[in-house]
Amino acid sequence: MTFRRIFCFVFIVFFATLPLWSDVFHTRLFTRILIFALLALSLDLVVGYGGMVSFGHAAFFGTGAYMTGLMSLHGITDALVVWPAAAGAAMLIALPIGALSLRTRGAYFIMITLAFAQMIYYFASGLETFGGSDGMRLLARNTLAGKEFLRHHEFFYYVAAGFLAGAFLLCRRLTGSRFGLILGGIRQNEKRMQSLGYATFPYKLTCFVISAALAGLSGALMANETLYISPSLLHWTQSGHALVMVILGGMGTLAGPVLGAIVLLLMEEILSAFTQHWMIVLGPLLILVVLYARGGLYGLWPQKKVSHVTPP
Amino acid sequence: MSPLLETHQLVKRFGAMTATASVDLTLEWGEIHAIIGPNGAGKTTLMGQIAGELKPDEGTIFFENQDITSLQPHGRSRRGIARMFQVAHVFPASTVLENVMLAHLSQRGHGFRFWKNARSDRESRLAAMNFLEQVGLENRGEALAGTLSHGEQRQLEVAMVLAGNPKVLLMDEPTAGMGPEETARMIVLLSRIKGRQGLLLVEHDMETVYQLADRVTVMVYGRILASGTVEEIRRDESVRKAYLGDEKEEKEANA
Repeated sequence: MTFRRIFCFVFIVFFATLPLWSDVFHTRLFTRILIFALLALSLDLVVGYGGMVSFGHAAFFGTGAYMTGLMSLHGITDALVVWPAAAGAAMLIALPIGALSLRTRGAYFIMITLAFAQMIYYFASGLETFGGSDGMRLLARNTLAGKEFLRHHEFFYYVAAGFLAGAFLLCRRLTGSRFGLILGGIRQNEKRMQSLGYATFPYKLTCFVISAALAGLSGALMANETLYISPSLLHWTQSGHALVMVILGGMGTLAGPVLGAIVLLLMEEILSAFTQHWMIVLGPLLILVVLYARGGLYGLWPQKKVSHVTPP
Repeated sequence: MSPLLETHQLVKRFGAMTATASVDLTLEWGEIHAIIGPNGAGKTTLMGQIAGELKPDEGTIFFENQDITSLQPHGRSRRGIARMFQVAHVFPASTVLENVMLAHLSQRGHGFRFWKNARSDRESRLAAMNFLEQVGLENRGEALAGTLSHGEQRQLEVAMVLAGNPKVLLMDEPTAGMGPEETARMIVLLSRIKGRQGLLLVEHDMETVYQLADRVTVMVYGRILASGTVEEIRRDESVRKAYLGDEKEEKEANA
């Protein structure tokens, strides 16, 4: 318990003070890490808590980013409008995708979410207004209540950190609520939940749409960080990347995907400095985690609470 | 008075095999009605159709005088038909208490409450504890259901179906795989809850049937062979023949 507390303390102090002593390059690197952690967290809500392995979360991530681009083309650049709109657009897309995909389960669900995401990827690749497959530059970051705070990388870092912390606390309430309890039952045995009198479909769809909102938000943040949107944000490798973070960190926990995002992106950064074939190192490591640490990195935590995830 | 539950000419085919052939069955309030028969007689198929997991090819199911044949499983469950499975179907990674809370909450409005902590909700904890006490699991509330013994998991199942406050209880071999001690405990438990609802029981163990049932129906090859009180069934010549015939065939097959 003490080790756990010390680690959490160091962890929080590190992330809370990072822009104060770090250079711009590392501040921006960690901003991206925080944004991807938000994406991984949203994905874990569906995969780890809902038991629905979505291989199409890039669709919602990319939709958030493209919504940011679309609104900037029309001169709407204030974050207070754009970001909720980005999350809303992702939800709107998630509603029909979820409604159709959730009629299947298991491997079929994986394939159909992948198919929908790829459809949107090719659709975006054909959009001339957004530069087609080349993508499009954004002129500037969104304004915040009319002021240009966000162009300061340090400030933007704290905004991303704030969103991640907020989403973390939100998910904690959500998974502990009556809705979360029911979702856990559905993950473990959907047929049993039906025989108990639950119509399971609306719960799964709600979970899917909430998750998409967070993913869309992270997409809007990413568009602001890189000032660049392209179909690669919608590509299936993006979905896979997020899934790897969740599995590496430990699905069915809230700290797991955050940890997974940090570790994966840092390792990519460090390994790619040594060799461009860094995937040769990362690949076997992932296989080891899947084989020997089924609870992910977070599951290796000393005196861990028993992970309540059963394999789907 | 019309019966609580009634099936009328229920037919279910799997390809060329007829699993239930024109089955007429009734269940009255407060009684335990046992269905016995050799393997493959269509007992579980019949239960599946009453619970709504299987759609009958022909026939109707009435519950409280209403036709429920086209209702989904969760719809039937909401009206008060609870199912207990052949294999224990608890949620292994949730605590025992959470299992019962899930069963209890399903009857109490919708579950779209996103904010308040459900696990520490006093009212539903108390309610769940009450059902755990009824089945003798009050000391195991915080254990993960997956860590319970087989017998305890079946007890938990009973607590879960009771928590739904059902009018009809469908039980598929509640004592299957249990040792003599656990079986005895289950029989006591079932006789204690008897009278609060109608209980339709599929059971292989004749001793259990003789101790619990008010009425027995014998099924063979998807048909009802005989139906009556325990005494009537014991004396019935055709029932004896059906069972003996089976044994003979088995012996020949083994030889």
